[in-house]
Amino acid sequence: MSEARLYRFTLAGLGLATLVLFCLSLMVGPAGIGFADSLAALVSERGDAVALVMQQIRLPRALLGLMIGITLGLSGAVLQGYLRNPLAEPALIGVSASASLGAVIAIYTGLSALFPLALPLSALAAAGVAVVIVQAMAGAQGSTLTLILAGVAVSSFAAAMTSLALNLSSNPFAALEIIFWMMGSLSDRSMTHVWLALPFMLAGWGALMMLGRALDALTLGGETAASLGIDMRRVQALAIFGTAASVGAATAVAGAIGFVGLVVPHLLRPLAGGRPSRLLPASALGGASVVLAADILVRVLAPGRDLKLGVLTATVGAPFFLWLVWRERRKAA
Amino acid sequence: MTRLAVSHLSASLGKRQVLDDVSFGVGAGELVGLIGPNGAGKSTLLRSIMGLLRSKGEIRLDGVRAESLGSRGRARKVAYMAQRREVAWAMSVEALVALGRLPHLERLSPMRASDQAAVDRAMQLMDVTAYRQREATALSGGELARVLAARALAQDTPLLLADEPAAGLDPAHQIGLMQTFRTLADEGRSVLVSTHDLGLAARSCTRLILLDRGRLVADGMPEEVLTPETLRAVYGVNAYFGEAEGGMVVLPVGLSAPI
Repeated sequence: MSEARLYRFTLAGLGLATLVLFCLSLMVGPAGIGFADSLAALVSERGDAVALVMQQIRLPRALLGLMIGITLGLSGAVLQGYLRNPLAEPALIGVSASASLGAVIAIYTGLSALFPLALPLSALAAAGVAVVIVQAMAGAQGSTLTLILAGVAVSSFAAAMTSLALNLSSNPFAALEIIFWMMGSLSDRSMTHVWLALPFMLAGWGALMMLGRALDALTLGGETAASLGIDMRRVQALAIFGTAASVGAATAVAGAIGFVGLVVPHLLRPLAGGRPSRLLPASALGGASVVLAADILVRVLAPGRDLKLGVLTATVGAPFFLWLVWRERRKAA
Repeated sequence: MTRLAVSHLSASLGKRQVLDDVSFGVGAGELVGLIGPNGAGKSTLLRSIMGLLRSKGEIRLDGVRAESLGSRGRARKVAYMAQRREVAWAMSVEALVALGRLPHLERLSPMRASDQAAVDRAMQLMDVTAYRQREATALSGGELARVLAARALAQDTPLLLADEPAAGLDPAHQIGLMQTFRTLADEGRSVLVSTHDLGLAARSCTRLILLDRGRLVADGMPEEVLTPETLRAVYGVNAYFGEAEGGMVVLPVGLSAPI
């Protein structure tokens, strides 16, 4: 079967790419450290400068790139499958905007200056509030339209509150910090961020990965899926909570990184034979590759200038999105 | 035992009552046609039996209350072909037909040889084996209808509900589809199929159920249900009645009263 073989090659290729990019991400930085030295320093217990750079700067950065990439790719694939719409993306259900608002509140109130974890914790709390609202709105009927509308409403409100915080900010430095934070970045993160995000992401990935077959059945529409024994309310709850937990945690530690969750599943879908269950792992690996590659690029393109990861993904992603819309339009014509 | 027993079923869409106290049964080996004008409640009836709509009344499958079976248990007993033919992603025909096996697969376990055999048989019955590698989104309307029928057959259930499965098929495949349903019934399964093609229903089904504005108005052999008087009263048409190749011919030919 050629389709199955193509899929196996795809998974193997993406897995290899992710591994290579993860190692490259560990290599790239202002401190020139050789390959062997850096790997040795990762496990070294000497505590010298090289070990410090590797263990406390580069390793968390590479790990977060990997985790956030998996999160965006996986949740994007699940939401596209659940909503049966190739233009769906993780930010759609309002979790990213709400997590951003939580972070902005922490910066605005000065809490984040008092203790560093205040920012991600506040972001996670806001994401939690958002998901409760969205799930309550979508309700027991499991209507996807209500879910989208509730997500749009929550996103708009969170964006408005964020603008209000900027508007009222008496401290220009706080306003600048808010703006830079919202651009999305992996620089200057620590292992604490990794440990904070990991449990939420693992729980979210677990929930999302359980949906493969249900999403396959949903290809034929909600009623046919239900007639195949799929519990649509359970599918909706898992999709919302899985996305909220993993994307909420990703946004909390890195800010908003756009377009990965939109573009990666779309690109990989033909290689997965159009089957959502096959797309999930492929898209998770693809997302990891893209985020790791983008995070290497920001360091290579503008060393010392702190080019933001979210800026790069949006710069590349938005034209791609246009092309996507153009192609859909041509198909519909 | 009655395979499907519907008693005192009522359902509403919004504020409009679409089904009003409908009761009937379908036995093993029966191919029953569900007929009635637009808006008579045929699709609502099928969707209510599937538990896709909230309804009042009782539905029993092989004597067991349908709600007590659970969603997977019900999916092993009843397959459903929706009227709306929908395929969201460009997956292959074979992968699509294989979705019919989902209720039989344990979590994470792959397809077994018996599952593949059911998929192959379903594709063969619906004459779609030749397209097995093609993308389902690139098929014609009639081809897709047959692929979706194969999907339902692959589910391999004792009861099959089909909502206008013959619409959009060419004459040969319409007859072929009904013959396949006949074969399934002869194997001891039960099929309830809604259609607007009275002639096809009259020739293929052993029994017809006629709905009109949410009520069951006739239930019996085709020649009992399809009479000139009923067709005028319920459909508002005059029909030509005849006989050919040992079966009944019904052909609506004109309006009995201005609409």
